[in-house]
Amino acid sequence: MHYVLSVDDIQKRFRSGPREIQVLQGIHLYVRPGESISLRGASGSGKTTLLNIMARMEDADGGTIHWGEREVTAQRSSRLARVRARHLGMVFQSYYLVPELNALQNVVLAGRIGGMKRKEALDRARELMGLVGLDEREHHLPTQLSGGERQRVAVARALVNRPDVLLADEPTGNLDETTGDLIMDLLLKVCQDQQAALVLVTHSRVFAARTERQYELHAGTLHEVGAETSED
Amino acid sequence: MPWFLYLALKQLFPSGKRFGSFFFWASTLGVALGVAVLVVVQSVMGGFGQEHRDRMVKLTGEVVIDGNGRPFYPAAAMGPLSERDDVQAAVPMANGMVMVMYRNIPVFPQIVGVDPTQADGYGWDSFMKQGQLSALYDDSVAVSRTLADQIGVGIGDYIEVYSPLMLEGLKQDEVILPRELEIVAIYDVDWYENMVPGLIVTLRTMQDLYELNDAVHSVQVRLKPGSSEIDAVQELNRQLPLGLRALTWKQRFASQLWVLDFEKTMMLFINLFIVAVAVFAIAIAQLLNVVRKTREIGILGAMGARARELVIQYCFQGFCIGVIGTTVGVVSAVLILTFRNPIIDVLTRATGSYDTLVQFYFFYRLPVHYTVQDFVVIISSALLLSTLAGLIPALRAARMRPAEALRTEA
Repeated sequence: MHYVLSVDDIQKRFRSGPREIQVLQGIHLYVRPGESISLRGASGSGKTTLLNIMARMEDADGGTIHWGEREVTAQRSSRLARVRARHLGMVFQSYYLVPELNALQNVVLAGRIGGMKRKEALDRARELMGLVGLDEREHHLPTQLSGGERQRVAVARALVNRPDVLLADEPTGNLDETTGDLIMDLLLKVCQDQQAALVLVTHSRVFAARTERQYELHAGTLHEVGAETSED
Repeated sequence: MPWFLYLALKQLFPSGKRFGSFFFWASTLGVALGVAVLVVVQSVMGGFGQEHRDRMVKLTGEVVIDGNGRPFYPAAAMGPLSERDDVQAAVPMANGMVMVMYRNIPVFPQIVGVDPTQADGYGWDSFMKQGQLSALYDDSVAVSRTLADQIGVGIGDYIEVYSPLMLEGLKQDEVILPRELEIVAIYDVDWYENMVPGLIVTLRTMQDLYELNDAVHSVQVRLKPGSSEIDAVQELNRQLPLGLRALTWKQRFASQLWVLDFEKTMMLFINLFIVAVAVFAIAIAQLLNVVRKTREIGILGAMGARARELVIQYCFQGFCIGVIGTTVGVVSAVLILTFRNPIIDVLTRATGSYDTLVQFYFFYRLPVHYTVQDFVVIISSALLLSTLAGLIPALRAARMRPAEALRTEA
């Protein structure tokens, strides 16, 4: 079976003074091309940490990570930068758009960081701005956009390099219910359109239920909802 | 343009802000002020130095031949000089110290004896405020304005001059008759008193006063424009008889020139601190900027930005601030230097210090002299320091792991 993202036996501990907290204990997760997966769990259960480890934005204390066929566990973060840009897209709860750039420029920037030529990045950004329904607002600064619009720009930005996987960390966390619904619709639709797998971290059972596979992170271990045994 | 340079420019000149960010202008102003002060101070110090150099050359010529303090017959020096085609004028001089009495007020000025028939060769005409050097005769004297003011004499007055040899005669109970000289000219070199003779007499009078017969103390040589005084001195020193030596004006005034150069270098060094303060301000502003944008840096990392690209981004911002700040600073300095005299005039008259300026610095206008080297040093220092100002915050930004940056509360 071909996986676009797989993690095996991931361990992560945090030290808090003399105490050591085991946040992740032997996590296994395999993401197939184009599928959608949700991770749920209580606050502090390690969802975001797991997502960061998958993206190699944070180091694990044990286990292996593969992006497609490439094992990236031990690779230096600086070497992985470009690979990450092309393989993974990321959407965050707080959007994190560059405030000095307008919506279109934010999307183009991600393409340029990913190694695209200016024209290619611009064409791709315009295509995605149309896809997320913001082609009329591409010259607006982030401060001139609503929360939902900013998150749509963030989704377009995450997809500009045609990643295999989109990692979304509570993308609806800062939005009202209606806007959250719209963003969720958008994420599922564009991931399907762009044939990107979606790994969604969310508190919402409703949003989680809309993904193909759902997992819950509890006491450092990952359990697939509806399956009899945990994924590991 | 690479994305990190584009983003660096966008952060300095954000979309929707026509005149750039406050951070940019505050930092640029700091560099501009530092550079302007450096250029103005260096140019004025250079100007003072150049004025002093001009006076040194004007007073002594480019080359001086002397007998290491002993009198010599000028023919010994004139021989080798007459064979040279780079010599414009070579004139003999005798110098020493005398006592002057006027209305029972004694003063002890330096005295120089010159040949008035070769007045052009000395090139001192511009110093003469009243009378002419060529008007000197054997019982006359030209007096410096400082000395004239000190003892209260003017054209047509007579002063009594005693040489050291006359005073020596006192020991043998000789009756001393001073040399009475009529003042026929008053000159002003606008320079430090100890560097300028108080009296100028004819060479014959000086030879009488010092019992030199036909000997002199030096031969002052003016070279044709474009000639090398170093080459001339090297060749003359090979040709001159034993006991005579040729010196360039730079060798003669080596200690004074050293002081001038030292002053200028010290001013550059001290003023570099002004730029350093401006650079420190940029570094702090950049550091605050990095702290403020920690999450943004995290997201750039998450999107695939490399550490070195982040370093270049923030260093490039420092460089841009340096380029624009230096340009503004140089332009401001040139404007200040262009209008320096009206500015100084207003300031000194407003503070009542105009006379003091003239008295102590001898300049009625503020002299300015700068070299390409001055500008290269100032501009390259400002650009280098401004770029380095971005380095510490840039390294901080580059060291951040994206996840850590995104977790920051800033």
